[in-house]
Amino acid sequence: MKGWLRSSPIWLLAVLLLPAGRADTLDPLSEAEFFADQPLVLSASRLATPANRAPAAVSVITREMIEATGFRHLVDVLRLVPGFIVGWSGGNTAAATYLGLSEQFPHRMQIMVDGRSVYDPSFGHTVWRGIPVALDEVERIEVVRGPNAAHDGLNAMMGTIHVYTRHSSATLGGMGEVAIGNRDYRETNLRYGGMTDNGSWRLGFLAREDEIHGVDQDRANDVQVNFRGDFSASPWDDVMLEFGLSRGRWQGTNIGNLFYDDQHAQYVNGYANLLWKHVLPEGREWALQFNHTYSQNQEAIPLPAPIDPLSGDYRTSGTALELSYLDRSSAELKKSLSGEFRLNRVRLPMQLDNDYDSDYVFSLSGALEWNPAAEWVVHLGTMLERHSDNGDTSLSPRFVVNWLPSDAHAFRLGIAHGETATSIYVNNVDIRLSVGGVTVDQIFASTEDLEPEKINTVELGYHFSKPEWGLNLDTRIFHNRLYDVVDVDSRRLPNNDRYNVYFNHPTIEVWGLEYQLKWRFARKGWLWLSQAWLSSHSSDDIMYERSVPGYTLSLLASHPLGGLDASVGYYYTEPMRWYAGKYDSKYNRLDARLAKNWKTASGKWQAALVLQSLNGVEDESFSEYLYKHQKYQRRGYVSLKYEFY
Amino acid sequence: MAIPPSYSPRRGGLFAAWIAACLLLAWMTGALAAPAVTLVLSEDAPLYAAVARALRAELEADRRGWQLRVRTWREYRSAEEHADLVVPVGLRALQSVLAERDNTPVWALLVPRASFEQLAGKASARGRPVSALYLDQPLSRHMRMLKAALPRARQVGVLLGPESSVRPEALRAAAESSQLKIVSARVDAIEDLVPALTSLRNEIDALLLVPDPLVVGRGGLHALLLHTYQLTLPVAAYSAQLLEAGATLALFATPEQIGAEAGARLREARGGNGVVVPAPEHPQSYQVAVNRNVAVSLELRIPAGETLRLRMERGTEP
Repeated sequence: MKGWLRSSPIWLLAVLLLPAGRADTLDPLSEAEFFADQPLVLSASRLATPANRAPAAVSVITREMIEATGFRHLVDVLRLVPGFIVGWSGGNTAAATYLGLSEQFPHRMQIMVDGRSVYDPSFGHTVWRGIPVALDEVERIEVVRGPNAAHDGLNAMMGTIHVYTRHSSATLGGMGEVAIGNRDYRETNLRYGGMTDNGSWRLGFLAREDEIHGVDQDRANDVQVNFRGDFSASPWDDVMLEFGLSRGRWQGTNIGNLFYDDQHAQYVNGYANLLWKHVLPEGREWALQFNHTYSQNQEAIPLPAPIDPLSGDYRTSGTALELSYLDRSSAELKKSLSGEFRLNRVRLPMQLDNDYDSDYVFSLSGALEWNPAAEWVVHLGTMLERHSDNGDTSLSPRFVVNWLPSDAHAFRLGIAHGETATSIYVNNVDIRLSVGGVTVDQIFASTEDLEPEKINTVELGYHFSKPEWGLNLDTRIFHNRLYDVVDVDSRRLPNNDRYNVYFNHPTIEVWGLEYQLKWRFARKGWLWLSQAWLSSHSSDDIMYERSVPGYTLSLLASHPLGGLDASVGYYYTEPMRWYAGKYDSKYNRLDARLAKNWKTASGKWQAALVLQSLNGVEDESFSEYLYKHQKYQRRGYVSLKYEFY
Repeated sequence: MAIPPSYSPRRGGLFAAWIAACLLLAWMTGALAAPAVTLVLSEDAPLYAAVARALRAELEADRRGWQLRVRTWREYRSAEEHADLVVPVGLRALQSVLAERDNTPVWALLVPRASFEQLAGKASARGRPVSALYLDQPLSRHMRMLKAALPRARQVGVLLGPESSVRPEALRAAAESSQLKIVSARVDAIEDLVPALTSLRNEIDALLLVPDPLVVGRGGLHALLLHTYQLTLPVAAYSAQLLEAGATLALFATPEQIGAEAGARLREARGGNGVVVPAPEHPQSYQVAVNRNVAVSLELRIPAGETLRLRMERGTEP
């Protein structure tokens, strides 16, 4: 037992978490405060490339904006990003897609939380509700709009969403929050953070119950716990350790097929993430990241006798090891290199031809940022990635030139090619109805040799920044050509019965103009406005054209109002139709938030009132196998938050 | 061998003795006239060695001659070695020197002003002359640097811990001279840092770090620099190490600059066979440096450190 204790990581953790002693009186300042080596906090990898020099359009959603929205779900915040559509199918499964072109499982964006991919390799989507991160813990969200496979790999075909949680040193002390609203909304959020001799840590807990659409089969319960620790082994070595677990019980389906009214899913997600950064002199550093993510869905599907019951159960796991090197020692030429090995394992008993399917992924990426003159930046990046599941090797290059004729104006011209890996489900699907173990109907089979979906993009960006006016504008006009898009077709069996297959076929073209504007018009007043005008064409299927909304708008403004923090959010999309949907989805939604902050001797309080969908309803309609027509109706909640140190 | 009749071996020996005595007297007179200075180092470490080396080079360039001894605080015993001036280098050395029952004048180097004032009071009360060339730069110079680097800045934030090295009124007075306004927030524990910064964010254009064991201590530095970066708030610091850690710009004197300036001040303070203890002062010498990577990432167009220094000296802040 003693040996186990000594060798256990728990022992190490306990040592790391020992509370730091605090001296009763502070010694006089010495010269050490001026000359001692300090940890390199803002190392090269922590510094973002400024928007006017970046190789892609990036929307940065800050903590201030997240709070002002009043949203309680991470995925909803993406409504602020130009061209984004967020919807909930059945109330428990959120879908967020850039430029439409999706069913309820959008799969063309990479989503990463603190550098860990939360993209589920089974269906190739993200179970947003199951990510064990409370919105209160999120520091900022960076959304790269446009192909980013050169940086983040195959799944970043349409872009990447990077979610960064708050450093544990920013959440010291305790926090408790309760929120309650109509339509059965309740949430309890607890957090505690402390310091050790060489770092800091945070433990978070969240319990939530809600009904997104307020229909009978729409209730969802979530419980989450997570931990983040940040430790400095030396001034040049930083270690971040995270782990978390979430458990959800959701009415409806998590696999996209609703067979009976009382269907429900039990979902579990767990992860561990370890990042070690070693800083070298002169802006160079390397990082080693290891993470493991596990998720499990249990969903029973009894079918009318004599058909054998189906199972919506699935399990997936992803284990990744990444080594990266960054060199910003030269102002003229900045370099980065990264290599990753990932093992994805999936068990989809109802839907795959094998119990377990594995996909070994190897990737190697490199990027150069060359500054030949003060007003020019040239970016060249590429990613080489190989998936064992389909045997494909893909190359995703990107070439971008930024021209900065003055401090205020910058132009960007870029071309990029991206690919997205077909999911393990799509590669291996085998769904059949059986009676007594004998197949009576082959519904889906994987008889086609699938290619990765591909995209070619050309974009012209313009960035305007005038700090003295508090103004920041980012615009982009682009043309996307998607080809080898995976579609569904039917084939005929020898006995003339038909079955479905996935195959590469359609080509889709999307033109777009979008912009985002952030204007800080007063010290405490600011406005965020984003709009996108989109147009699509596909000679193959009207479904693709319909799935792209012609127009999206997001407006969020915040300003003090008589001692209160007041904010309004307005979100609008023209009608679009999710793939296989029979009805249009759209939103025209006005939200408002009022918050009062005050301090007492023991801590800080915040009371907030949030009203959502004030002006009408949000219509959401996904496939015909789900609820027909869902509405996000007018609702409100109040919350009370207490933070103490 | 023929010996000249005028030469007597006895007379020759006397002459040689006389010459030697004159030389000895001349040497002794010179030696006695050269002020004896004992440098007492806090540690046998490169930081203190750099100060001692620069100071020695400055004194050796003085033809009048100096007696310079270098000791660590463990080796130093005032009763064993006469000195006209004791120069402790660093806080530990100053504490050690002041603990001795001695009235030799003391002139401290590498000691922050607040710490010096805290320690020197008792010694001065006993009648011992105690002074210092402070380690920290004057607040007014920090304000001029901020104005030179961020001409549009109007309000500067400062976080003050319970044992902060500066007083709010001194900060305010220094800021006014550069048409800046100080907005300060009290921080009683490391846990207060981020909430205090968040509450200041909409009030201030930059954050000025001042030496403070709580605010800039190892425990709080991560939170401080990460959070200011996330708030896109430029940070002005007082050391090269803080600049490297992630501050946007910094004003400081290097150990070599401090040693050289101390040597030059000693030369100026020499009077006759002794040395007058210089008055307590901030250093004249300084450097301004900019963390280019942080500034670019914050989309700030801050000129190079040398340009800022020229602007500060010419009073041509835009």
